[in-house]
Amino acid sequence: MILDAVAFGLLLPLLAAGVVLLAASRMGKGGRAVSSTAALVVGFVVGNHFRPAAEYRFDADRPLALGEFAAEVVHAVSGVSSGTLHAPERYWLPWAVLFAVGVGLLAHAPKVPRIVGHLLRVVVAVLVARLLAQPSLRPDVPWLWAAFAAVVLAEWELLDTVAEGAWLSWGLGFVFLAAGAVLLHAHTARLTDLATFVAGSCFGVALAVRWTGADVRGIAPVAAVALPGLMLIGQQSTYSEVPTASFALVALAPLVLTPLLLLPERHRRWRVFAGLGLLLATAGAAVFLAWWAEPLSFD
Amino acid sequence: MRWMMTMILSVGLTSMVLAADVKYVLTKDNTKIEWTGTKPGGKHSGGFEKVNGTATITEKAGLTVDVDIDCSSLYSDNKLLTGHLKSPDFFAVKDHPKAKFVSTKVAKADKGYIVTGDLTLLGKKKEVSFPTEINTGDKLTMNGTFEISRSEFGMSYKKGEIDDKVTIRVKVDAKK
Repeated sequence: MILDAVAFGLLLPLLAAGVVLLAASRMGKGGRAVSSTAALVVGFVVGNHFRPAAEYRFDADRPLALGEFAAEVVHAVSGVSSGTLHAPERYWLPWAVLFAVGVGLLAHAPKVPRIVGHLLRVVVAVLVARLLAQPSLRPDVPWLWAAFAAVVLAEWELLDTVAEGAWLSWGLGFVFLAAGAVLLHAHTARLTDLATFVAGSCFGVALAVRWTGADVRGIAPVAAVALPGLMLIGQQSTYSEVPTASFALVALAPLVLTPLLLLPERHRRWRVFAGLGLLLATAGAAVFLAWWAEPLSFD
Repeated sequence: MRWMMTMILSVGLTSMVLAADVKYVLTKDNTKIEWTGTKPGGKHSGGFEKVNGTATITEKAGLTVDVDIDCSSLYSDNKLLTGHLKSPDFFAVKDHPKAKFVSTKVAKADKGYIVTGDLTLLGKKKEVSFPTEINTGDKLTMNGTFEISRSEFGMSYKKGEIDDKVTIRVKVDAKK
C-alpha cells in the first residue's frame, strides 16, 4: 500500500513534471515562462489519474455540466443559492489552484504592468477564499474567508518574490510532503494523496530545473492556494487528535521565508540555506506534532 | 340540522381513520443500524449510535418507514478507523452529516416481507430492496440484512482493495 502511494502518488508525478519542464523549456522564451506551471499541473493530473483523489465533476456518473458549475461558483462566491446542489470545499480546491496558476501566468505576461499583476492576485485571493473558506464551513467564524484571502495573497506575493532556482521547489516539495503526513495522521488518505501529487510535482520541477532556465514562479500560486486550502479543509473535515497547530504550521509555512526579503540578493547561498532550513524546520515541527498526538497504524 | 349531521359524520370518519393509523417512534434505543465492511483478509464492523424516525401503519399505505441517520454518530470496532470512516475518504461526515431511508413499498414475500425504499447517502439517492422479518402489534419488530454497493453512492475510496459490498443490518424493536 505504501509502495503504491510512493510509486503512483509521488514518483509518477515527479517524472511527469520533470519531463514536461524539460520539454517546455526547449520551446523558447514562452515555453520557459510557462514550464513550471505546466509541469505542476501535469504532475498533479497524472497522480490523480493513477490514484483518484480529486473529483473534477459534481457527480461521477454525469459529465461536467458547465451551467451547474458556473451556478455553483456564483453561489459559493456570492452566497446566493443555486438550488440543492452544493459542492463541498474540497471539490473546488483543484479548480481554485488551476484558476490561480492561470492568472499567475497572466500576471507575468509581457506588457502587463506590475501593478496589474498585484491587483489580479488580490482578486484571485478573494475569489478562491470565497470558494475554499465558505461561510457554511465555519458560520461562527465569519472573518475566516477574509483571513484566508490575506494568507493566500501574502504567500503568493512572497513566493513570487523569492522564487529562483531549484531550492524553493525542493523546500515546498518537502512542505507538501509534510502536509501529506499531517493529513495521514488525521486519517484521510484522499487529501494525503492530493498533497503527495503536488510534492512529487515540486520535486520533478526541482530536479529538472537544474538543466533549464525555467521560470519557477509558477510554483507560487500553487503553494499559496493549495497549502492553506488543503490544510483548512483537512482540519475541518477530519476526526483526529492532530492539533490545529500542526495544520496551521503547514498552511503558513511559506510565510517563514519573509526574513529572506531582508537578505541581500548577493548572499544567494545564505538565502538558499536559510530558506530551506526555515521551510524544513516548520514542516518538521508540523509532522512531529501530528505524530505525537495521533498514532497511525490500524488494520 | 344537516350541518350538525355533517359535522358529526366528519368527526366520526376522521376518528376511524386515526384509529386505524399506528405510529411507532424509532429512536437510538429501539433501532439499530449496523454494518460490516470487508477486505481481502479482514473485516470491520460498526454502526450508527443516533437514528430517529417513524414507522407508520395505515390502512391505505400499509407500513411505511422514514429514518434519519446521524452520520457523525458512526462508530466502529477501532477508534482510529472511526476517524478514517468519517473523513472525506468514506462518509465525508462534515459535508454529508445525514443519511436517510424512506420506504416506498413493503410487500409480503414467501418468507417475511420485502422492503423497498430510497436510501440517501453522501447526498446520493438510490433505491434499495431487502428481505425483512416484520411483526406488528403493540410492538413493531423488524429484522433485515442487505448489501449495498458503496461506490454507487460515490464512496469509491480504495475500490478494489476494500470490498465494494457493505452488509447492513437493521433491527427494530419499537413500542407504539
